Amino acid sequence: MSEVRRLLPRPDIQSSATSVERLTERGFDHALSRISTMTSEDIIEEVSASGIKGRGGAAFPTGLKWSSVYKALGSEKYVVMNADESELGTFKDRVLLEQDPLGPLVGLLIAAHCVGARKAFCYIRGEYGEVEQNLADALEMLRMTGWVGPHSVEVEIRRGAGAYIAGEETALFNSIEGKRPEPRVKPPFPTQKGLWGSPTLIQNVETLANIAILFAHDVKWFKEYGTQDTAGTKLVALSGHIRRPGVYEVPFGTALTDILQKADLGGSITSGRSLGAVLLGGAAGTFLGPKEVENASLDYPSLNKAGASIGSGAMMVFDDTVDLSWVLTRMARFFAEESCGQCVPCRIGTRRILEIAESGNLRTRSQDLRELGQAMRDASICGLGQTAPVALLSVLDRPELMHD
Amino acid sequence: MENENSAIYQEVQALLGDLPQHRTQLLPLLWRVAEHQGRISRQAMEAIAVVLNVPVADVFGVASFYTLFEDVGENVPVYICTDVMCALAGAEQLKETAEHSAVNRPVAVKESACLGQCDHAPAAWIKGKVFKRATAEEIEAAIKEVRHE
Amino acid sequence: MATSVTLKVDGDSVTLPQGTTLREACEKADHPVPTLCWHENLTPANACRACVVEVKGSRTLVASCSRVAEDGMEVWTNTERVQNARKVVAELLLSTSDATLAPDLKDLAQASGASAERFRGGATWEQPVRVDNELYVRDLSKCILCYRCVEACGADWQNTFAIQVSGRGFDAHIDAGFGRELAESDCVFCGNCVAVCPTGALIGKTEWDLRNQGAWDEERISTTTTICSYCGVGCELKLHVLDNKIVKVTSPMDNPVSHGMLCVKGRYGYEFVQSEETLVPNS
Repeated sequence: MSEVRRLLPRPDIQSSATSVERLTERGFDHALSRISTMTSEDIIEEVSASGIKGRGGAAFPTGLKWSSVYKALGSEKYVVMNADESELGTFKDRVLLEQDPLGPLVGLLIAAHCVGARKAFCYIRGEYGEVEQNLADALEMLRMTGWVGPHSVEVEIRRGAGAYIAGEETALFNSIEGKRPEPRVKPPFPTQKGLWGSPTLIQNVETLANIAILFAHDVKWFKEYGTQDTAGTKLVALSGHIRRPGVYEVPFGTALTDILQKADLGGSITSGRSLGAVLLGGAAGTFLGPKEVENASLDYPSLNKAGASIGSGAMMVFDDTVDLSWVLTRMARFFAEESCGQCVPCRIGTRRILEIAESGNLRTRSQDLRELGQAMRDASICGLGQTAPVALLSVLDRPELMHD
Repeated sequence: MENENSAIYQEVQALLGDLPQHRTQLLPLLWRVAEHQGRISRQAMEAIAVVLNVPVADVFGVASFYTLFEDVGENVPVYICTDVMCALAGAEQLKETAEHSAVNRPVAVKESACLGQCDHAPAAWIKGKVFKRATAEEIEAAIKEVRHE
Repeated sequence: MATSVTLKVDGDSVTLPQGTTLREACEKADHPVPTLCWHENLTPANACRACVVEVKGSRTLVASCSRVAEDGMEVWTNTERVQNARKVVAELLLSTSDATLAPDLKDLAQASGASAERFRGGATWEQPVRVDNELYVRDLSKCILCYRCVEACGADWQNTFAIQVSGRGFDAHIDAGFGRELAESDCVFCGNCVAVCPTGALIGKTEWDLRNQGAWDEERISTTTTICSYCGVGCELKLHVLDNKIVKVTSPMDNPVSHGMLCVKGRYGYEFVQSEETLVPNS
């Protein structure tokens, strides 16, 4: 299977990314008109029927989330686009917002209309200045056309300032509220108590783009690609020792080997070397060896068998010369520096993993690391601490990947 | 403690502009101050506390959380991404060159966490501009251009 | 709507009013869980993770201090995963902070079989003690970042908001802003932060001095209960007396008037009691 273009516009598209023409060309004005005559129940039913799951990494069924916010009691409701993409190896939302900012924005407007929110936020990381400008231009156009404004839904862009953890949904709320972006305890979930304690629908950029193309077409069209388990397409972000690094849109179920090797996708490993390992799903992902990559496809059940997950769709590619303990040390530093410091397992655990990695003792202290890693997975407050040891543990489980 | 007559208070109040005078504007106001003054000084944080009616300790607590608000004094921060993909593409050498160029200049070279430019590694970020597939020459030129405003 | 919930803790059924936390439920069921950051009069900070339990159907362990009990829940307080988490939490804290005056942490370490050495050898929070006023001392080498002081200074109790957590990750710390001295800050010296500190990181200056002189002896300290004479609120005071001198003043956490809180006068304004100077009437 090769690349498809649905979430991303065709490369030969003529209209400017933030223009009214683009809105029409992509069918987004049709989507907005279509939903304005639909009831919230009907919108939710269509989202559920499409089978869209959250594309930020957690893969939570989107229809269920919308229904939960829609039904939640509260005089104020909010919707949020999470564009605080800061995970190592992950850049798909950046590319999507560069090429087609209207998709995610239209998805956000549909979400607001559906759950009854009058106010929406786009939270974007501070290092994405040019992308933020693109988003602002697109927003301005939508304001001119009346889809955004005081009589429909107000949209505000909030800029992060260098903190990976602010992408965690409840930390993001605290950031918007002017507090330290430390994650909150769940439950209560954002669908019940989010921004300022009100029911809040927060979705990843790519999820919202899926919503936009779904309503620009219909469920049948949406399901033309993908597998029985997961319909649609996924953006994958390829980086590292790959000829054609970048973001590609592929149907769920595409073989990982195809993603790496096909001429219009990854185009094979660089310098004629062979594959050493792929870190799949981002920094919180799993290392897969060449054999596992050969047998796996981009789908939840297939990857489950390998103990992996699609996560954000990041695929960091390493050839057979790369020492994974070096990679793990770098990753350990990322987590140690990005931990918010609120809970003990993550605040101190990420630091100790870094120290053990830097001293070259990953292998000799594998038992200590397993117990520490388990405690972090079990007892950290949020996803950062819970997933910080996952890639490390995946290598401890695959000792053949580690060079001596 | 900054009071309502001080110059910095007036300046911060002006920077707040159209934004509501409320804690929820803390992050946007910190950004406006950072962009206008090139940094967020202690006096500016004290003024922000007064303007938004937020405790000073909270303003500091929030500002000190974010990497991009890190106080590098009078210097301009130059961020070189040294995370996995950029390191794989030679970010360490890039950083060394940058540090060399930064000597006797008002520049602070900082290692940055992943900038989300792994498809254009190595990447750097200077005064809001992303440098993709950054070369030593490019970074050196950018550092030499840094001036105090 | 039901007013009570029934759940199982380690197989024992327990019925409690709705809104009860799992921590309380475990206590009621006679399967108490250890805590470090939880405090009876403060909002659960849910930061130390010592109180985690296993809840059927939950992927991760659950902090029992802040999770509300639900009807039909099945909770386990002592599984292998729970034991490992508690032990690692204790080990991580011991590898970072000075636990000399932290009885709860010592108890947790002992009960969980934690090794103080396992994760030692790396970065610690060792730092100079800050003695910048005559009322209390900040010895942040002993801090475990339980957030109690921040909450007591903030909306939970005092509403002064003089301190906050600053920085992030391993560098996160309690700060009155810019690392400044307390006298420069918004601190009103009520000492309510000191009253809730579980590790001696915040400690009365008198106690600090006496401990340094080796003269602090819990065995020889007697306590006297009285009512504060400064104003009409009527806070109950507990005077800690050593060698016939007041060395510390606290208020019982279960006192219905103070709930353990005092103001600067009640907590530190006791010198007049033991003043050698006598009042001389104007003549």
